Amino acid sequence: MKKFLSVLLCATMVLGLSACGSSKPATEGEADADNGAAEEQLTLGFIVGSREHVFYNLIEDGIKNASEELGFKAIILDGELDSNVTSDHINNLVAQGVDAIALSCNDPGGTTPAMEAADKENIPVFTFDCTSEVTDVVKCFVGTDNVEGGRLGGQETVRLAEAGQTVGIINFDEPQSCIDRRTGWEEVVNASDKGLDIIDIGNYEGDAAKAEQLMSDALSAHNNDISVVFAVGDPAATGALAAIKAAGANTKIIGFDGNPEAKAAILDAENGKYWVSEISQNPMEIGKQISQNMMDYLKNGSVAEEKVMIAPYIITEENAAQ
Amino acid sequence: MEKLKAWLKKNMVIVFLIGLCIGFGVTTDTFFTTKNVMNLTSQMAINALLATGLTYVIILGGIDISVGSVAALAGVFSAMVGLMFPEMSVFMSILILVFSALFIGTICGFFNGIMVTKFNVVPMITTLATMTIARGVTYIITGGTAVFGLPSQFSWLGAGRFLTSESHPNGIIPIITIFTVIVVALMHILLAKTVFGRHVYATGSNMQVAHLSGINTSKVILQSHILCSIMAALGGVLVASKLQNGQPGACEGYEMYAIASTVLGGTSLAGGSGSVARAMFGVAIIAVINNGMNLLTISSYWQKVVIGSIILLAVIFDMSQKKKA
Repeated sequence: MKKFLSVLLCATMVLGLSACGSSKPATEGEADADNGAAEEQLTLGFIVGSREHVFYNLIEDGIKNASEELGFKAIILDGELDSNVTSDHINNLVAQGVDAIALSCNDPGGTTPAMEAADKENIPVFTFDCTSEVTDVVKCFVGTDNVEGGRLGGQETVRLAEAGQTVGIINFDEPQSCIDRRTGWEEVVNASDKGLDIIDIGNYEGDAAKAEQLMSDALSAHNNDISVVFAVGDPAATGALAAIKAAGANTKIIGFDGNPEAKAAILDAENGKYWVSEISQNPMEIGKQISQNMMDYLKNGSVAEEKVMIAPYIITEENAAQ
Repeated sequence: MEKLKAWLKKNMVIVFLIGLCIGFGVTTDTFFTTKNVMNLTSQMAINALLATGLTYVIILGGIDISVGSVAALAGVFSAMVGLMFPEMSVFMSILILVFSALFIGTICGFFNGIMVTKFNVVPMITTLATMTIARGVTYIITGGTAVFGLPSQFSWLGAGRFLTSESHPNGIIPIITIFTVIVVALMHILLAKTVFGRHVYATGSNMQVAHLSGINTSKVILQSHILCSIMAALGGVLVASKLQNGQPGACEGYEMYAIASTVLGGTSLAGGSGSVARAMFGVAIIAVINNGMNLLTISSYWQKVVIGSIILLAVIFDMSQKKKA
């Protein structure tokens, strides 16, 4: 009885969640109803990394726009950055009989079995944002080239720093995307002929207040003598900004993500003195491209390219208002 | 000599804290600089407020793991209220921050308290629910985005400093530190010197006896939960003020540091004993370890291992002392 109740509860929750998720008119119930009428319409399942991040919310927007444009029904679920939750979602989507599944594969190890199971049921699996190298069932991956983004951050660092100065990085050691950004950044900064001194400011763990603490401690340890700081995410840049202002330092900040608060800071008369540059991703484009590729695959049985890398770009005072 | 020994045993946390400071003072050039010491006090502020509120609830034999989420909710709430007043004065910003903290803190604390006293839900479960609900509401009202665009007056309380001089153009003494010291001192006096405080201890040591001696234990528990949530909410609005920005993901996991600080300060999870002032030593130990290890650029992974081990050692030591006594 207990088991039955918990299954029932889970089912209601999943239904409730997916109902909340799709704001467009085609809801679960209606879809069943008009299946007979419009048999052509394809249903695609998407699992975003987490609804708690603007980045994924924007990907979701891109998917929703594409679903209207390309005429498919989108079921979008929240993977909560948890491979267990994500795997359950994959299995449920398979049970619902979707035509294809795309997921943000934040933990390749944990989600691979469910991805392979879906593939065995002849439901093609796609990835966006993060992918899995462990399995070969992924038909196509659309994501940001984070190493390239890191390189852009490195270029900006080299541009803003003078020869021999100290530059720092606030990193986030867990997500692969942030590790990649760091790799790209270090590659460019190390290769520059300005002889910059690199310091590791620490792992901010996604917490702006923690980044603030790390940054103030680093400024103390180096007597405010840090010329440029590269933050692998916008919360880290927000924390660094508070620390730099409190310490009366003159450190320049390069953020990463392209969130609205970053653009506002760059345009602000006061904050823009410190936060001068931002590496932006293009999440809406990721959502659009993954949808496009899934539809292509379902129509033609193949995609043009198995790896679609959306290039990140630099935002400064000049283009922040756009 | 015997007296000194007894004092040392009783106040091992203080000895340990001094030892830590000397250790970091010797191994780094910057630990004892005015700037770093002042940074350190401002870094302690948030956890100090959380731990202060928790001390009340833990003395009652309860627990509150919702403090981090309540703090985040109050933080984004204050930022959203702040956005409505783009021309705010500094005084106005303090009003906004304190009002937001009282408002959110009272609601969350009242909810926790009622669940515990009227519906007899154990505090762990009640506050677990509140933790999840408050975090959820935080994401709902912000849509997952940071609340930004606040005027610089908003950050006076959290990031401002007094005593500007030529060598310190931004000032020396963090306002957040002064604010926290005042609040913590008041909360210490409330617990240690008032009738309400004695009722908290009495209820925590033996609820039935307290009840039979005429104390309205339900009321004491409800009030303590409200105080705890208000402290957490104050911590949260200070984070928002410090960052001039309401972060929906703020203060995640801070409850664990706050509980650890309280326990390090000698407050027993079984209830009945503890003090706000002593919890501050726990807060200081954790802050000093974090700050010192950052100055030594030791990886944050090791910081976690060290802090966990120290908590365990402190509790084992504390228990062995109590057995002897």
